[in-house]
Amino acid sequence: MKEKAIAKEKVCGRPRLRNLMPGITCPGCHYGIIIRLLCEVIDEMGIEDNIIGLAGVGCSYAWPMTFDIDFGSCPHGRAPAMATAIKRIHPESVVFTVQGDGDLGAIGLGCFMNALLRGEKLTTIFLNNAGYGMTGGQMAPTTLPGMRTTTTPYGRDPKTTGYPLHAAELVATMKSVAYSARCTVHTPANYQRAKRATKMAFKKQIDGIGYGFVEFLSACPSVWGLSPVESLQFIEEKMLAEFPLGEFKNVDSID
Amino acid sequence: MGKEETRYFELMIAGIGGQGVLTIGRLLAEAGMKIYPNVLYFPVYGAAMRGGESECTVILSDEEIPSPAIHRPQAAIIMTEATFLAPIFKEFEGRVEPGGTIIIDSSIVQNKVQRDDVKTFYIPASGVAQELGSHQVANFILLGAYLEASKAVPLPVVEKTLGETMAGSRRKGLLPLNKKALRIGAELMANYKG
Amino acid sequence: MAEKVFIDGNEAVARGAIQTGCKHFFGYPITPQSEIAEYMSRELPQIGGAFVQSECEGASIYMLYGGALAGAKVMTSTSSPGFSLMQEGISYISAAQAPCVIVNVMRMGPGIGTGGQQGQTDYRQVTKGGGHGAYRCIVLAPSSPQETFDLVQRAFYLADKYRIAAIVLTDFIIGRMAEPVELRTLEFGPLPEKEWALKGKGGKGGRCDHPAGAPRFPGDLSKGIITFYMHLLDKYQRIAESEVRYDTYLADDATLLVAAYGSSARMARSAVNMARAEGINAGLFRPITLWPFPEEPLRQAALAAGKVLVVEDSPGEFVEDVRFAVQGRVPVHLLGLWGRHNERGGGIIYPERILEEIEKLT
Repeated sequence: MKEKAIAKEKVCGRPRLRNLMPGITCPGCHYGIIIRLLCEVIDEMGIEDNIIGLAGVGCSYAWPMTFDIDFGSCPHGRAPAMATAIKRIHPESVVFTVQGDGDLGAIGLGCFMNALLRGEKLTTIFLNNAGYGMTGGQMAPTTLPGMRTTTTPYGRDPKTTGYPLHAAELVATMKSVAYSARCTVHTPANYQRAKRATKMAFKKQIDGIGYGFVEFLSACPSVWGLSPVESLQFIEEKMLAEFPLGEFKNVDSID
Repeated sequence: MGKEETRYFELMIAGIGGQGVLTIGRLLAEAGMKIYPNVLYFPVYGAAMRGGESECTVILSDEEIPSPAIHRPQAAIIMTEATFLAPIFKEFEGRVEPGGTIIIDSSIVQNKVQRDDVKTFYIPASGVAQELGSHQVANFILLGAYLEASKAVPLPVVEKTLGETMAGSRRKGLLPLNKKALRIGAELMANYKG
Repeated sequence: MAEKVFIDGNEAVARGAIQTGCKHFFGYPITPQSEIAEYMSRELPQIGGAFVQSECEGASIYMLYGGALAGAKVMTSTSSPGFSLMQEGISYISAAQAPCVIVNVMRMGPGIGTGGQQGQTDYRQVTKGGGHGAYRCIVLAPSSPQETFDLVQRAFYLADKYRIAAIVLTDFIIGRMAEPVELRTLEFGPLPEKEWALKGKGGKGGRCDHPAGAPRFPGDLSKGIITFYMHLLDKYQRIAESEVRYDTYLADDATLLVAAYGSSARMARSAVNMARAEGINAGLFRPITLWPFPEEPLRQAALAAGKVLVVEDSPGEFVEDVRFAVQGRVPVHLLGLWGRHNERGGGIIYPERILEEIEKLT
């Protein structure tokens, strides 16, 4: 059979700022997609030289090694305090934190809210997968009512464990916040929207306006006990019902 | 220089937070800085800003001062009977060393010292301060009395220090009144008749 | 001679830090050290630095950690309950070998204690490490405002030299007592570059040599926990060999050695004078570094004297290190907080009480 000449064009690859190391997350986890998104955003915004990231404990623990940018790691829940100091000492830099729902919403909620209260100019990437991943699938502040986890074996009962944390809406009520949005990356269109939101959350910091916050709904097939494809469905049907997408705040000045 | 020739003064002031115990203690120490190579000021006070136990120690010395805490001071100024936890009068009456000096704000403290091995001066400082226009200068009257009795630091040096420390203060308008109170305290002591 | 000012130990902390180039301070109010934060809030903005009042000491310590990772000379100060809150952070700081200075103006008792008055009941926690993970911090214990001013400067130097947290341990008495302080700048020599610091890739930031916050040997992912600890042990050994500091007073011909640190050493010094006036050959040994502990010099002085009296305003913590150093070769007596003149928070172990104990032992 005669060989057919094929014109090869690279249409996809590893983002320039993604270090050559294997992902360490479970199959179907959305963290890898969000890492790609962040790499693209940092690259496209041209801020790789002066951006400093801080990742908390949990499934984002390996992020500092994953990015080809200056990136530190933090104990559980304390990234906003560390970021505060770094931003105050290097005010020309762009400082962001990556925090899971246990990190930001439970152990570190006070630390996070106080960073907002102090009017810090930082950016936070909040990863909401409705449970604790690394420690083995326990209940998080974002676990949906009725959802089974290893510490809510009969399903989360709001009567004894309360209701899910709506971080993006809460953050939007804070005066010093310039931008707050909730996104997903479970479809290509949503990926593009999330990218725009992330850029905006960085831009608000760069322009000196205020805090930028993006909440990502992120699939966790291992904890949810679902296949990667079922997890997409779960986001579409269950997560979006509890956590509506959208921009909750977007201002160009705070007086 | 022999032991007799070295200068050494120690004073404890005790009262309630808000009476200006620490203000005059610190003032005496800072004035002492102009004269003595070694000066120590050690305040002891509770967590609350008003109403609790408040006391301080001032030591002026030609020689090195090891301990900031003096159990048997040469002299004490007592500005109150007691706080709700501390029997101040009773405690300090007993602690002053034999031959020492106790100066009491007799407008406030009704008790009399029961010892005869100390020199006691009952100065109606708060009453006189009221007549001067502010009960808040009772502390300066008592300091003036101590300076006259002890000659630890000349009054003009204390006045000069007061002027310096109050220069940037929002209370600097009170400087003339404070100085007047110091003078009146010294006069009360100079003319004191037991 | 440098300018001389009349300041207390707390102000000496703040001034000493600024004198040696610290421009960033993170802290939370707690008696008896809030004056340090107040001073910093007034002065740091004037020199282009950052003062941040945190929401709790747990946040202060992580601001300090962040600031240290950013490569700056940073300090926080607190008092005992706040220092307890900082323990997790000090452990993380030690894992990352992030150089910084922590000041503990300690107060009496567990819990709320006496509400913020004098006491030396943090010795064990501060010198042995209150956090998890078998780390060490350098601990410096001044006994005057001047020494506080000097040791704070030294703490910054040692922190940077060894990449370690340096703790300055004072207390209510040292923090609140004022004496003339000469505002001298101490020179210590060159320090290593902080090539590991976070400052952005363009500014040649170190991209974090302790990935994932796990204690690892700097710069080499293949090296694990054994290498990490061997590195720390080597460093601790070097510190123990070269950074021990102590002070003696009339110890050479002493037949009774009083051992005390910080504020208690001041009262003990008076008691030694009183004893000498009575013809008793008492002497004083005062550790300045509580870690590394001056084990060998103390042992020598104790053996020469034949007996030791430890004075500390505590139920007895420092005495454990003294006993360890002396190795049972001479008797070690303790005058602890029961030597105070009364039960109230303002109770003090006066020199007269120490003298009584000295007399009993001779």
